[in-house]
Amino acid sequence: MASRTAAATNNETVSLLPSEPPFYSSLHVQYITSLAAKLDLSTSYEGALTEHRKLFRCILNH
Amino acid sequence: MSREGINNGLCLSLTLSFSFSKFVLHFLVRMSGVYWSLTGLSLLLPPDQVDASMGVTKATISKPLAPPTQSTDTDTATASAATTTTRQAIVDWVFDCFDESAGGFGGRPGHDAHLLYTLSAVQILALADCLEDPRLQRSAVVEFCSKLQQADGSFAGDKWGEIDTRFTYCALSTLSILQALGNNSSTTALVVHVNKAAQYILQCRNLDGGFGSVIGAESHAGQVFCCVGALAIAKNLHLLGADGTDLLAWWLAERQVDSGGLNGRPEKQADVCYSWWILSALSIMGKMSWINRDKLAGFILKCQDDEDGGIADRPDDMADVFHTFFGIAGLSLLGNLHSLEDQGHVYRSIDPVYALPTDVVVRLGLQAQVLGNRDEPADKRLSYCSVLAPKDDSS
Repeated sequence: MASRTAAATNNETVSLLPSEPPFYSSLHVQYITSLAAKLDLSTSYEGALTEHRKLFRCILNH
Repeated sequence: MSREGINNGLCLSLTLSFSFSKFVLHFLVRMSGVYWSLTGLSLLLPPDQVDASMGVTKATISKPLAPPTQSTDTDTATASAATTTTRQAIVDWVFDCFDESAGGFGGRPGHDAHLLYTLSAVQILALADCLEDPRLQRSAVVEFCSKLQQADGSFAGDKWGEIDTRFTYCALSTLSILQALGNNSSTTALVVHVNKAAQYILQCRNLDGGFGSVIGAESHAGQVFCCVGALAIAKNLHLLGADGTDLLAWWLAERQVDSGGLNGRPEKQADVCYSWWILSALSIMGKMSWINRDKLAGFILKCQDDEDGGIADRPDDMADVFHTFFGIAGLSLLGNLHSLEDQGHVYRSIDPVYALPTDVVVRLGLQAQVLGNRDEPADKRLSYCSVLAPKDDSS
């Protein structure tokens, strides 16, 4: 999980409220567009969770 | 970091609580996942960039065990072809999920049809401007929805018969997007009993002003969105009555906690997804000023992952696509994203009833009902909606 102090310097950020974190528009686009690969990648957290749930279903089916 | 937090995010569209069975049902949610992803991107990017940015191919959607395809650098011509291919691949995959025997769409190819995924499928096709695709068996989908209506006006989600006000919203929204519900449809009288559906929703209203999943069920903010949204599509918002509208808006406003976030029920933690469920209902009722909008926007912004992107259910949890979409949608409804347009950013706004970009809703000619409010200026972004003038007394 990201720390609140880390700045996404390589990505577009836009300020919505002066006292709040900026809106990481480009990071969110990047996050969404990378999901398809992540879900199928066993080394990613999303992939590991998907595999875990597949195993869970297999157990239930038997 | 809460590893368990992501369970909520990857669970079902409109899922209101975590349970053993719903945990397993994660395997069925890819249709809704594609909808969340596409709509989230649609709110952040111009339409012509959405397909190209998605990076989803038919193979990666339908074959989860396959290793991800390595992308290669492409020139402009190839990128353009890839955009078309990606769009086509997504639409092809949606039609692969069509359940011929039932007439609706399943969550994945080969799965049984369900109203949840049928709505997501139709929403994806609407986003892709493919509702005129000859593969879309409109009459079959309409019949699938109509056959799930029960004698009391409620809707079952599928052939197994679970009743829930979520399914009323899904059915009415699906039929409306397909132009099978409204004055411009010659088959209106044959499709569903809209008034009975609205009356059933009213029976699910509780003394606190909120709505539950079935008659007598506890009020829940997610169900409130479904019920208010369904009444808006059915143009039956007058049934709420002035007093009922105020009571409901009061209950929704009380969902805001000290952090600025909104919870779904009393004594529960705030969660980003309620930024959508509650804001959309308040928007439809013209009462968004009843909550502290800046504090809510601040809460959503604090839930962002500032390294990898995405938005979590609450600060310091894992981001997921479900909360990412509803966080972005919440900021869109709040008007925060559009405040940036003078800085050169262009964001599409979201419709509070159909959960689609407003330009898509306008293109489809959809005109849901919203409530006028003498205390709050009308949202100019909803000028295409049918405005019901406020009354002094409840009907």
